[in-house]
Amino acid sequence: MAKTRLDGDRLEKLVHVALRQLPPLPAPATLESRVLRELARREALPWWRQGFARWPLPARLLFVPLSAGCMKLAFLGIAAFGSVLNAAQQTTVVSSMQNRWQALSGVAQSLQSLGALVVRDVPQLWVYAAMGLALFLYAALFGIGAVAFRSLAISPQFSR
Amino acid sequence: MHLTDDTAVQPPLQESPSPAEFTTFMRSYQNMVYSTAARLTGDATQAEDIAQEVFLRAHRNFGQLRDNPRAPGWLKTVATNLTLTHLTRYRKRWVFFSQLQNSAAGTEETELDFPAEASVFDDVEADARQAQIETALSRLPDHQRIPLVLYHFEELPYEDIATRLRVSLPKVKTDIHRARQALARILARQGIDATELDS
Repeated sequence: MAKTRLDGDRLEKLVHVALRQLPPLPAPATLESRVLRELARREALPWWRQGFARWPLPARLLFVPLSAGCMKLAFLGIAAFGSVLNAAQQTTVVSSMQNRWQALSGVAQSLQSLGALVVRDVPQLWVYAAMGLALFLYAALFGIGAVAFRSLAISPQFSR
Repeated sequence: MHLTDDTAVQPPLQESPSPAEFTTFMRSYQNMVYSTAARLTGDATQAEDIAQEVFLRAHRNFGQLRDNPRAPGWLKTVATNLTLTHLTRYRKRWVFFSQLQNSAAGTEETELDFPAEASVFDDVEADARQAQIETALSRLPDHQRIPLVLYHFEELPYEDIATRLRVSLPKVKTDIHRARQALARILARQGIDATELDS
């Protein structure tokens, strides 16, 4: 079979002409009804669930001072909560919680000591081998993921 | 046309357009908006979602778009921007893997051979050929189709495409060139000679 060889410029021109000749794709028949339905749904929302620009003017004017008031209330509440917490530290309930926390901390410290002991007694070669194995498995898993993605997600025959 | 010109129209008027008026407007441009999104995404469902969002925004700005000669350009720009924003969610993924793919395909021949027997294509109607080109375009992988569409349909220069897609200029050029080759190859397999594309 005779062959025609195309260089980059010629190919660009041909592809450009071919693509520019394509007519627009017909929009789905459902698009118009979808848009109108969504518009109707948004229109039916109460004003406070619509965008700020669509709120009534009095509501927009009140919004800023109300927000500032809410923020001040929140700060006051946090301060009050802190003072209540300080006062409560003297009660038995809080003391018992502190005791439990100290017990948990003791357990964690024991586990840490145990780990340090194991690391000190295990040969360093084993530690390095374990780290190397973990890195290898991680890289292998990443490679498998990349190959699977390329094969299944971006191959043309599967992308449609 | 400036693709960042999302706010080319003024803030919306308070009056709501009548449904009939907006429907007429939508019917005039829905194919163009849908095509823009569909060719970039290569996915009909995503394109319809994006087209819907474009017209919802158009409705908010209808006071300025109505009878405005810039309306088609505005719609196309918003459609392109929304589509690219949508695609950006997956950008890191496809850029990374497309770079792997590009390096693997780096030894490909840069010129293509096509059958020169025009008689094979004599009975291929223009409509059928256009449908085949459209299908071939949609079958390109994202990292090739998106810059190709931006270059040939939106007529963006390479530099702008690189900026928009946040990839390097050489990569954009390579991806577009390979997209053309892949497109021609797919069409050649379907019996369309690349030299006949402009007929």
